[in-house]
Amino acid sequence: MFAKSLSLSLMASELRVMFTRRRTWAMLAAIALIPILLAIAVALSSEQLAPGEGPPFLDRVTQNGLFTGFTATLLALPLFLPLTIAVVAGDTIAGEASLGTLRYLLIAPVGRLRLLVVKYLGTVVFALAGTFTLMVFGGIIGAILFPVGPVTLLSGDQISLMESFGRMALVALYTTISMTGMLALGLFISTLTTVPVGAMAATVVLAGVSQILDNLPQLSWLHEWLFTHYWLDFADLLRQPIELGSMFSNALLQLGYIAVFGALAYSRFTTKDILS
Amino acid sequence: MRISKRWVPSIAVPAVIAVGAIAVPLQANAIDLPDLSPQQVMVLMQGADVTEFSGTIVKSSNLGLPTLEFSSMMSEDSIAQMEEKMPAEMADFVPAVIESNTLTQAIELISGSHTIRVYVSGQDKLRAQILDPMSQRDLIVNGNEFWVYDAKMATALTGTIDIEADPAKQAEAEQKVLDYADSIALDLSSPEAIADYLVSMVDETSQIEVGKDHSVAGRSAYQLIISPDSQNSLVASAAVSVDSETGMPLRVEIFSTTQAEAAMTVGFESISFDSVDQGLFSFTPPAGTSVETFDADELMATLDGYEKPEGYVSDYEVPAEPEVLGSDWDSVVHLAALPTDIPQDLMATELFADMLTEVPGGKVFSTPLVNVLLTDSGEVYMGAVTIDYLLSLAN
Repeated sequence: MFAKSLSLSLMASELRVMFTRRRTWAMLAAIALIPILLAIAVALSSEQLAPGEGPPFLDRVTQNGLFTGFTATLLALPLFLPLTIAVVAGDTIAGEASLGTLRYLLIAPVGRLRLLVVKYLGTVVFALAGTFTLMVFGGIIGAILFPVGPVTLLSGDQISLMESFGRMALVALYTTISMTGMLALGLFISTLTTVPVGAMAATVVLAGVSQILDNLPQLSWLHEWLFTHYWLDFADLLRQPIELGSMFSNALLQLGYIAVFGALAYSRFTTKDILS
Repeated sequence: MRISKRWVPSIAVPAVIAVGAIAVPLQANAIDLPDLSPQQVMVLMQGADVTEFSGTIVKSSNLGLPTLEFSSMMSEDSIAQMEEKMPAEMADFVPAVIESNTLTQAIELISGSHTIRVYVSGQDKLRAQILDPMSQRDLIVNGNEFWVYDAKMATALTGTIDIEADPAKQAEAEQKVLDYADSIALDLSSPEAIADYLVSMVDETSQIEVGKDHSVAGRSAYQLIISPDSQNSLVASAAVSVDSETGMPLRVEIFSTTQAEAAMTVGFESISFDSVDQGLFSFTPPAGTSVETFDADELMATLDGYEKPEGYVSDYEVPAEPEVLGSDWDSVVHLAALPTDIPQDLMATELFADMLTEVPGGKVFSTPLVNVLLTDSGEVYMGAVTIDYLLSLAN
């Protein structure tokens, strides 16, 4: 059903609009700054971090520049990445509504379901761009400032340079999957309001609340249902043999969020009077 | 107002997910194996001869102890910084500084939840990986060589287990490795080891029966339920899941008399009996690792030949030999006096003080599976028995 209703030209125009906006590029540039600033700070600091000191992986950066991407992903995960993701997700429907362009979009023979799907896929593409920006710029700045070589995994095994790039791509992909549930949540919230900033803020707040709840031991029964629960488990991809259990659990959880909030967004958006 | 049928998916999708979340675990119980008597299950288990497998073991406990989460993102330094910068009113939000020492590591080990991947090939090849968040600890045993690797601290320890003709010496060497693993909180207990211990306890002092057939780690299993006869025991029952095909113990759950949910669970989450990649058993420490060599013989020689300087008092000296009172489920360890160092430090900490309760004649540190009585006269009684029984022994 989706394949039929998915019009490629609508998708292309959505992506064109997204990637010609200055805001999109500003956010990607800001994301790229995370690994760059991180690597420069580590390079300028005369103090060598002892193993186990500071955030995980940071002490490895000076030995192998490729770790910059992993460290940057880790540091961006709690707040910065969700923030940019929420801006894009919260803007989907509410943004068009506030600009008064939603009406025109729907006057063209475009079904509301199709519009929702296209809007959602557009945000997923942005998430993919964001996570790969962290990895690619991390890799580049790491290679400029530090030696680059085979990556040492958490199990102490070393993997070839090619395989290291493979693991970097896998971590970026994992992080993108981690964001898909939150994107669906943002899409739903965006159908509730015509004020995009409200939808963005609500989405970021929920990501924060979810992370806090995940840290309360009294609520351990709830943890595996929280969309942020598996975010930091990308480290499982840095073990040898690779541990894919958290990848599957994460994907299943995110699919659940996509199904629930996608359905809610559909119900809300298709029954709503479009006034602007 | 008529509600549009477009709201149907919003109700149907969560309903389907809820049904799935309930139905999938239920399937684990829909298994019917040929009936066996408890003795037959025990024979099946003791005949287990699996020497090639890999799997993921998950351990979790529910002991009512404070969960000490060693935050993967925060070091003690950063917590100290937070304390400085935060306004005083918000002090409650600063995570308590948990000093990572032997005591906290021990508590973390028994109260936390751990995921361990194990690879076993033949009699003499083992790799165990404790999957810590953002880190990992490994133990590799290959023939007579062993490695312990800690990814976070980038340290490794290596040595050889002397396999000579003398089996006693070999056992001694293996014990030393286990002791060492213990000291760095590398927990090596497996469902198999615990099940063997439990079965060794089975005699006239316990009831034993076969529970419901069920599924563990995707394999059909018999359940052996062992319950102590003793009125004093804190252990209500222990349930051992035995693989119906190989006889290998797949999971052990220990239930306490004081709570309904299992106090401790150790079991395979997944298991495979396929042959294991031999490359996993060769280990070369990565560049930048500080490697220490562990020579058991040399260490023992140093310890044996070591003479204490005059007037030297060891911090860790136990002033009295521990003595075991009672037997089987009622065993209680009795110390005539407190070990000098550890408990003194410990009782000064607020964390520990909160865990003690006053009873007539002393203080009790109580968990669902173990009670420790510190009498006012300085004696220590500890065992998996009720407080009343400890008090009756003390008087």
